Amino acid sequence: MPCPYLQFRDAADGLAFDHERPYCDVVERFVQPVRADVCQERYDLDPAAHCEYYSDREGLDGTRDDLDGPPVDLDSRGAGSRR
Amino acid sequence: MTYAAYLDGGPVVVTAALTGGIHGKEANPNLPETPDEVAAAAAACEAAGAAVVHLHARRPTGERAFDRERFQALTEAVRAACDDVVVQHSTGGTAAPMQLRHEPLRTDPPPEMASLDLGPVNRGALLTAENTRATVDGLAAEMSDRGIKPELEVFNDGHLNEARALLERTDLAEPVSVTLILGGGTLTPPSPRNLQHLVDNLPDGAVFTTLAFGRHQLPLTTMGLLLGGHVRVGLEDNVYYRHGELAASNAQLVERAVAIAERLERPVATPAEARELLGLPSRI
Repeated sequence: MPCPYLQFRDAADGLAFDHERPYCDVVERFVQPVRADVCQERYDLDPAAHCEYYSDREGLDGTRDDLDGPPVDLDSRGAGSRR
Repeated sequence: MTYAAYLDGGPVVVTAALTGGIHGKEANPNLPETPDEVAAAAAACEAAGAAVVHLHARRPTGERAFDRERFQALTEAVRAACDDVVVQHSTGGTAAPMQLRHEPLRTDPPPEMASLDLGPVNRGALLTAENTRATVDGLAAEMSDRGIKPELEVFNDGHLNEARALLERTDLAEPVSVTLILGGGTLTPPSPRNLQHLVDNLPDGAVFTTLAFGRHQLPLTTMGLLLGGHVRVGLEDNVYYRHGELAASNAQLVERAVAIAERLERPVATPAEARELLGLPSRI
């Protein structure tokens, strides 16, 4: 069953697309493709085990969002992802 | 490849990483996702001087795809849109099962090159691309069977050990092609000293391509040019053109890389020249 916080939208947060895209209702932004497989439980992925946003929202233990340091694609000074 | 190779003025192969599988249009609306969009981007990059295009497939929603059918549609669109560009498929896929990781190798015709990730990479807090040695060996074996040249992706300096070990247990055609990757998290921390360190520890005879994420793309690919290497640019690795300004296209990033190479007196390789430099069969 897909993550309950997964939606599909074609517009949000000042962005608009030709087709609906995965959108996370927890962090209120479109989902990166690499994370969308977790939302949809593809390849034995599971939001409870593999998504820190789901875990935080659900109050699950054992997750941290800083284990990897700041991902380079979250660097707004010219990196891989707009935030 | 060394600074002496730069002084010799050898040609540089520019690879364009057009779409990737990590971020999508949510990061930059100019990032191509559909086969038609990727094909148009590939043609523009080839016209701008790219000799190689690195491809990932996606679903219509922009999500990742690994199946042969989507790669087939993608590679056919790219080949139809381009004159002679070298097609390189990704075999990367965080959490994707082994069977799917092989699918991009099974198009008709197969890609001329394919990426081969040499070890684990963390993504966020809870995901890891494992890339076990068994995975690497399995992908390398199928690449060998299909006549596909592996592009060895070195995410940190420990993966240079993995490259050497792979060369000891596998017979890869020369020259071995290594992509040196610098960025955050599990990757080699991006700095000039670390790029030099990676270059100093390449397997003997290897040619290298510099790949640096985000704002490190411009300075470290420039340094890679001075060290005699090849470069990879594109929206897969960096969605910005400069601080606070999203790139308008992949071709914009290729044009800048080409201009820098030419200013540094490194001629830019055509696809035919790239095949010769990388040890690929020439196209008839």
